[in-house]
Amino acid sequence: MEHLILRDLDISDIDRIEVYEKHGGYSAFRKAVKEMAPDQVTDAVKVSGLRGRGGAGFPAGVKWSFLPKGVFPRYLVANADESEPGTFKDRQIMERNPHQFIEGMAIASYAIQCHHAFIYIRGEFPHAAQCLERAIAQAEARGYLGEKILGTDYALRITVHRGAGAYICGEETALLESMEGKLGQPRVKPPFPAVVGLYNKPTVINNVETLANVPLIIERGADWYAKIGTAKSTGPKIFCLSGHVNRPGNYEAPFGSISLRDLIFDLGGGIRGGKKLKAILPAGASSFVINPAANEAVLDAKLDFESLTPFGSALGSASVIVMDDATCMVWMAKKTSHFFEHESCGKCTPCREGTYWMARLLDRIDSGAGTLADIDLLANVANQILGKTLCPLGDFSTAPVTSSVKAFREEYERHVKERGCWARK
Amino acid sequence: MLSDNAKSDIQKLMAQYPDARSAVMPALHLVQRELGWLPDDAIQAIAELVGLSKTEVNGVATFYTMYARAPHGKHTIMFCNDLPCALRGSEKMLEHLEHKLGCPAGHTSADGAITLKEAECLGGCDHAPVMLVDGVEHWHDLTIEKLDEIVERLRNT
Amino acid sequence: MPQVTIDNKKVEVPNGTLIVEAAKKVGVEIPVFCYHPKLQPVGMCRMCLVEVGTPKRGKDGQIELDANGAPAIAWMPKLQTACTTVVSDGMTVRTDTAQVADARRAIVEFLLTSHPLDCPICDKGGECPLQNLTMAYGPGQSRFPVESKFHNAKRVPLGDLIMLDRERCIQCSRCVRFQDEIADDHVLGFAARGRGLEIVTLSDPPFDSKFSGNTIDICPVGALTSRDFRLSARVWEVRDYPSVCAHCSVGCNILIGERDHAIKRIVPRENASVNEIWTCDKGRFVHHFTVAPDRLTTPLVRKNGNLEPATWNEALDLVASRFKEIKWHDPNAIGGLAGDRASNEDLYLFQKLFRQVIGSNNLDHRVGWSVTNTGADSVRVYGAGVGTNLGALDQNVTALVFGADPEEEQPVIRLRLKRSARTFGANLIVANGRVTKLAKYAKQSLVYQYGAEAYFLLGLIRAILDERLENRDFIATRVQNFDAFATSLEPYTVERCAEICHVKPEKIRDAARQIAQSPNFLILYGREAMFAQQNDVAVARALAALLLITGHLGRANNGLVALYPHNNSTGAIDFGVLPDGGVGRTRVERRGLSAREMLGRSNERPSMRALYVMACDPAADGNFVKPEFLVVQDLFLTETARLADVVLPAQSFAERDGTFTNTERRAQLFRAALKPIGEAKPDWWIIAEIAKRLVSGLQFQVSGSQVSGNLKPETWNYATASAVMDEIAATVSLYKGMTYAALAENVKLPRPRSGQGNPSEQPTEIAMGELENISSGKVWASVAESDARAKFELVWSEPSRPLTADSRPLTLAVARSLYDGGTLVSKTQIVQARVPAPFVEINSQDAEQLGIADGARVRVSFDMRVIELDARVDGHVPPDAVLIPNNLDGTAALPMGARVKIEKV
Repeated sequence: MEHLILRDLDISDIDRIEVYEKHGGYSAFRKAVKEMAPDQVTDAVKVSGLRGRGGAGFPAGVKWSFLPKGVFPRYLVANADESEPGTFKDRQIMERNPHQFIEGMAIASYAIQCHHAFIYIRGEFPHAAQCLERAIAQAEARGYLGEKILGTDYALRITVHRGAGAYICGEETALLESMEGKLGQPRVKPPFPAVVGLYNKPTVINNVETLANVPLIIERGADWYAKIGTAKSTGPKIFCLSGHVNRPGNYEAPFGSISLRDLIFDLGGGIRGGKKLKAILPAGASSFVINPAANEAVLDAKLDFESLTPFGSALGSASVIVMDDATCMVWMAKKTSHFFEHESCGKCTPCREGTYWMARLLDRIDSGAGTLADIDLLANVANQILGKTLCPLGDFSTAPVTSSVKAFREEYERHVKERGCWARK
Repeated sequence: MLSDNAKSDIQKLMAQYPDARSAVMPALHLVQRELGWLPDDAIQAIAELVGLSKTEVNGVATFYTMYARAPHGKHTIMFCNDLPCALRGSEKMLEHLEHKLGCPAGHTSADGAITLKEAECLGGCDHAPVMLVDGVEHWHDLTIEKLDEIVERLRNT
Repeated sequence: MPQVTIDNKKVEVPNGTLIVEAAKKVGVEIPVFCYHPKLQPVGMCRMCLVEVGTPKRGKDGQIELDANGAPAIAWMPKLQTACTTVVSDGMTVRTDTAQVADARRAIVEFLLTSHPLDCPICDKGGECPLQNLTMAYGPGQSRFPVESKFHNAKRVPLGDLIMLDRERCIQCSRCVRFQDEIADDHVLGFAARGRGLEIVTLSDPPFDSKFSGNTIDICPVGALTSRDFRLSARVWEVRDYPSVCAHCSVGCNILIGERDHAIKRIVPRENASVNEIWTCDKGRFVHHFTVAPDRLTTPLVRKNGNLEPATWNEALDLVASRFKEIKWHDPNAIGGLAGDRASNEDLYLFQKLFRQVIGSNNLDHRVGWSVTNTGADSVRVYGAGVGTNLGALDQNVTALVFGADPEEEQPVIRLRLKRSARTFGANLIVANGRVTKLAKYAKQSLVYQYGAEAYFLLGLIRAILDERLENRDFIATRVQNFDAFATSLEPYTVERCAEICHVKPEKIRDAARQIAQSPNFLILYGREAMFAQQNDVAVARALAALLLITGHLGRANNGLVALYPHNNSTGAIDFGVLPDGGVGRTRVERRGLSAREMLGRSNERPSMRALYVMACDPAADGNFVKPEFLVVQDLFLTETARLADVVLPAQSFAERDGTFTNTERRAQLFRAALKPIGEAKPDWWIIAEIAKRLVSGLQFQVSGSQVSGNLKPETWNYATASAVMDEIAATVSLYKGMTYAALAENVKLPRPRSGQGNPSEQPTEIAMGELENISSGKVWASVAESDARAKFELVWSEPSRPLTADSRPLTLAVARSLYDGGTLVSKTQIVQARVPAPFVEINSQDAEQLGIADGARVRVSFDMRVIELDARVDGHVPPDAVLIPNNLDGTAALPMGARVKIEKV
């Protein structure tokens, strides 16, 4: 099947602008700028049903239409701070199919009448940043960016802004703070960025993959696009598969077309080393862990934004981390816990103190020094964080903890009883 | 403290943004590339250029993990040890690296050649384990043998 | 106005009100740590989480009703922070539910996981929001193992004044926000992140701000403590006395915290019209002089060439008998010098003694380089209207800050003007001969040539007239001599004035338009402008003219504010401690001698046979020749006192009651906090005792039959300072009714802390400020506002030409440094590092011409004096001027505007 986003898998040199153009590249932008009014572009994206691919799944067109009328300048910021452990889809787009993303940014900028757009790319992606700089320079040379674009009065420039190592900057208001040269600490919402965003101006923030979908909608039509995927989750989706599978990687498939079983056993070639599947984190480190043994039906649910909800989990950014039966779940929770402790920005109390506390408790239980009471305390501390933090990071940090205590409690108890980790004995 | 080139580059960066303050992160990247780390004087120089206080620039330079406020070795390895890499053996490799460099993560080898840092997910989980050398070179599908080779090369360059 | 229901109590509040503030109005306390009413809300600590609901609306937009017919409420799925959520109409808030209690318990438990729990040795204990809220809402027991605690540095000096304990810090950012938002000195910040997030300062010197002490008050834990107060008392043992800061002319309201008969600490006391809840570090820390070991404790009388301890009777009798004897020959041979640090009561009685008992007008408070009286007549007539609040000027007010440097001289006024400009949009025009810190808040910052101030002002006036922007109605009905004034102004075109004062004509025109077209216009002039007025009378006349032609006087936010150097410069003028000014800013018929005239020159015979010197130290300025009989009344054995025949020990402001009148003409009451040091007495008492002794003999000396009322000893019987003020309130029209009772109205008294008083009255936090703006003290009304039909005369003076650049020597500009080499500062050890080494600032052009590099040692000559200083070449002074801060090591009594020569050493 033809790839719609990961087109580099079909056309290996599509990162070159002339190749991209030869395959229809920038025709969508041309059509938008020359033939469509900005609001028509937004309407098309609304009709397409395109939902944000960063994890929350908010309808992109609706987001664009939140900007207050008549307030300028406005900014578009592409969120390329792809930092969720197990996520590496945006990187592939930026390194290997950058023009589709740039074109998506240009169309989105036109739709919201923004003349200066930014890409906030995480500092650990130097190569991707270079690829983008090159792609932007090529697009400028071809007249897709700059002044008087394609003979119209529309002007746009795109600036690549590199982060420097902070997961929290994936949160949109922390990202804005960081863009403004401050510590990447989230802002209180409301006001939302659509109203008070970058430099206090109306701002749209979209994920890289989201924006890469936009040219498809304009080029082939919102109705065509809306037919891909399911009624509520339209379009193609990239699934990042990692962990104990034979063929980790990015797999593109329409929403609702594949299940976890398809992804892991068919596309991913099954569990490595002939071991058995034990657990899945479907949305990176901030997932509710899935225990397929508890309810095998979870493996056959066709994946979209909502389909994992009945199983106590969520798809998020579709960063599927697979773990075999030699993996200790206490250790898994400890790893994610340390990650969130390290990445907590420190601004709000429950996250700053709670992630620290959970990490200490998991250290203790994992090392064999814990008690049965510690297991309940751990779940209790997690619930004490939940719902009280300034941004979602606090809630994220609790997901693998509470879900693993619930789904794999006997493993926690075994650590206490055996005074250590069975997997590392 | 800063070279004239660095100063004019920072001024160019400032002009790229609607608010010059936004240039503070790229300026820190730039200066760190030039000096290897970010001494107090450099923080002061950047602060003066972008119109912030030294304390504010220091805040940025210490919040983000890629900036170094203390001298680093000639090379820096940011070694990913997050869950997806750990599922593919990064913990053992990190131990190996620590042993080989004679220092725990977060420190610099005694010969000053290599600073070893634990990185948070580097976004290369499909080719785990991965690491980032000197902030620019990505290495993936790491094995103990490959690590040894890279360390040897870094020590000699 | 939206109506909101909080715990079933309904309240209407203005648009934009936060839930936390609305709750206070119905008596519901929502606990907070990071929230502070003076700072931008950030929602960080999460202590204020509450349940919030809004009316449920159907698809048609109509509010749905519940079974009881009341609007149904759609509750938000998560708890919301009351400190960031703005109320909306129909909003319902619950703070008394189990869910909210759980959240508060959780936040307190989280905060305490890494807290050292060292309340027994923490300065904050007893007035600590964390302690109080833990008692009120915390779990009572920790589930966090002590061995897992996050450890961090315990004693981190943030400069000389503040100590940081990083383990106690709860990362609420109040201190950082105070520095960024209120003080605008961005010297505190966070470093690192997560659990490691910590407060740092990288400024040089560390925590480089004149307002750092305020962060101690607003820190909700014991993270920031005073290095002065640290570990010296438990706060519940400290007794608070309402007082007024005795340093600069702002008159910040303070509480003196006393224990063991010494000041343990000073904290600001709220006064919305003066200092809100802030004070500067000098006001907070420079109090050690009150109990300095070298305070005078007994009267001293010169015997056999030495000053020997004496009894009060002995000393007072001697003073009275010598004054009597000299007066017998010539009352005008007795002169009085009283510093403008003394209280109104002291100054009033001092002049009363001279004018009514001794019969001399040789009185002055302008010792050294003080020029406070220049322009004082204008303040009497055009003084800013009562109700002017310098911290709340809005976009309808234009304020010209002229020849002033409030950052160094009246720091809290800098804070307030900054607030007016940044928060309320006031239009500041800052004009001076150099760039001061205030300039950054100005819409226009204008730098004129020192000596050409009159041209700058005439340029403004001319620009207004050129564009016909004057207030013609006002001029027609209230102003006399306009036409003659305008004719005299004829030759002074904007271009010509601009050329001479070195401000571009278009800038003058722009400023003039703003002044004339603004609904309200204030002029604040400072010390440098006072010198200019002294050197050129045209400056004062032009200032008045600027107000008159625009009609900007006689009401709040219009008129003149003089920014004086000392805490009671206004009082010294009000009470006539001047050779030509009487009580209540009247004119005296027969002008006496000024301080300068009384003191004479070193090569002259002193013109006074006797001098009574109170609260000032003329000998410190050099060139002092001792008169035949010298009486000095002071806290310390000053240089003048060393020469005296009689030394009388006075009480500091902390030992006695009194009033000071601040630079905005606000009389304010201060109360005794300490027991007297030794036998020291209040100044007013000493003066009265001398008067009584003089009067008792004089009654018989007065020729003729009439004995004036003030010559009866019983009229000098004042039991208290309050009794003196009663007399003032009854007889001085400016101060009519300003008794202590009146001045005590609305004075915010300290509330009890933990361990004191009734627990139900104890606030969880003391440095929050009140819900309603409170202000106390009384401002006297200027002529323009008390007499609505008064006529004013425009008076023309030809401006004097400043020296041109080619005839230069350079002009000396004298600055002040907040921390200087003065006696009071010198007794407080911990601020010594903030006292700058003496220096001279030179413009880079001049420096280049003279071959002087930054940091070079130079010799500065002026007025027969030569001093050696380090040169600074850093762009704060314009060409042709040099700037030297006064009263640092070797730089006392510098003559502003003198011609100086500079050469390399």
